[in-house]
Amino acid sequence: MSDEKAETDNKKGGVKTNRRDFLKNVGVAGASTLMASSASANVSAGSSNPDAEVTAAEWLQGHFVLMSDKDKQEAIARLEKRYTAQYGKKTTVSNTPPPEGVLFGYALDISKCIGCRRCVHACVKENNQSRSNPVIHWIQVMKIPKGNLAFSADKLNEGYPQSSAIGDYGVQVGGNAYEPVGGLSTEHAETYYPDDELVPDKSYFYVPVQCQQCEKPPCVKACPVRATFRDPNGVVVIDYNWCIGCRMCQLACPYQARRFNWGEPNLPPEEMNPKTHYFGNRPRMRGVMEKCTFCLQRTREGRNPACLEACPVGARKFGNLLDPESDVRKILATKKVFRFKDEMSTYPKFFYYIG
Amino acid sequence: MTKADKTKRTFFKKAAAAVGFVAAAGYLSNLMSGRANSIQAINENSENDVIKQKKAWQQKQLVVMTDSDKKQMLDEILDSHNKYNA
Repeated sequence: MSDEKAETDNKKGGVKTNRRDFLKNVGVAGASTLMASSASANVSAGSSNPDAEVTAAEWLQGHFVLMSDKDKQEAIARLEKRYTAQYGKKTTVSNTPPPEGVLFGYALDISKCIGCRRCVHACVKENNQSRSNPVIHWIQVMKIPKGNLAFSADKLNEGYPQSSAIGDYGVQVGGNAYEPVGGLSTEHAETYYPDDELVPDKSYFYVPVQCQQCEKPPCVKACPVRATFRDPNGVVVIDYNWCIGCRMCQLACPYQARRFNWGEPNLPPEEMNPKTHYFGNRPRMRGVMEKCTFCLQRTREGRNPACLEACPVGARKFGNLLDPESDVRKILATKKVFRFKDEMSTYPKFFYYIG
Repeated sequence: MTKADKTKRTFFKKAAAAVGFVAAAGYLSNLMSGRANSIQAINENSENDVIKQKKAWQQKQLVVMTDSDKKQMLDEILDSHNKYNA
C-alpha cells in the first residue's frame, strides 16, 4: 500500500494501519522494553551490589571538611566497606583530628644520606602507592655530583650589606658573596639510578625530595575547588573524593612534588596497608592527585613518618616547629641549613642541612 | 524566494548524515580514550611527571642560610601558622 493511500485512509478516520506503521510501532515498543529491562537490571544489581551503591554515594558526597559529623561517619563507613571488600582484608579509615599546638617540620641531613632509597620503599608500602602501571613514588632521590658544593663554612656569617649614600642596604659583600657557585647546584642531578647500584658513591650527594609542605603553598591557591588545603598542623592534604583532577596544583607546585593517577592504581591486596586515614594513605582512585602528607595517619597519632623510621643512617629528623626543644628547631638553630636560592617565598617546612 | 525542500528523501539524507557524524565522533572519542587508557600511555604520562620534577629540581640551587636568614624564615613560618590558626 502506498503512503499516500494510507494517509488518505487515516484522514478518513479509518483505523486501518499499514505494515510500515505496524513495524514502526513494534520497533519502538521493542526498544522501550529493552531500555526498561536494562534500567531495571541496573537498579536491581545496584541494590544487591554494595560497590555500586558506595560508588554512587561517593560521587554525591560533599567536601569532607564541610560535612556534618554524621555525614563524615557515613562516608568513612562507606569507604571501609568498599576497601574491605576490594582488598579482602579488614580496612580502617581513620579521621583522627590534627593534634593541637603542633606545626610539623622535617629536616634531612644530606651529608648522612647514602641514597639507599629505603625511605622510598617504606613510603610506597605505608601509603598504598600504585606499584605498577603507573609506578608512583612520593619521594625521589636525587643524585648530585659533589663538585657542585661550593661554600666556605668559615666565611658563612662574614657577609654584610654594602654601604651606600642612603644607608647599609646594598647587596651583600664579603663572606661567600664572591664564590662562583655559592651553594649546592642540582644542575647535573639524576633522579633514577639502578636499584642494584652500589651506594653510596663517594663522589655524589644524595638528596631525597618530596612535598616540602610549604607554609604558603601555591598548590592550595591554585586548586579551583579547594580539594587541597593546609591542615592546622601545617601539612598540605587532599580530599581525594573532592579532587576533580584538573592538575592545576601540579602546575603550581615549584617542586613538582605532586603525582597524578593517570590510570587506576595497581595495589596488590596482599601488600595493601589496611590502617588508613581519610586524608592520608587510603587507596586513591584514577584521575586524582596525591602527594606526601608526612604520613599523617601516623603523625596524628604521635608516631614518626615511615620514611624516617626506615632510614638506616638517621639522616631524617621530624618534629614540632613550635617547640624550641624539638630536633628540627635545634637543627635550625645549630646546623648549616640550606634554602633554595629562588624559593618563591613559599616557606617550605622541609629543611636540608649538613650535620 | 526558493521553496524549502521538504521531501522525505531529503529528510532521510539529513538524518543519515547526522547519524554518520555522531557515529564518527563516537568512534574518534573511543579511539582517543582507548589510547589514553592504554598502559603505555599511562606509563608515559607518569614518566613525564617525573621528568618534569627532575627538570624543576635541576633549575634549583640550595644555598646555605645565614643566622639572620634562618631567623627570618622561622619567624615568617611561625607568624603565618599563628595567622592560620587564629
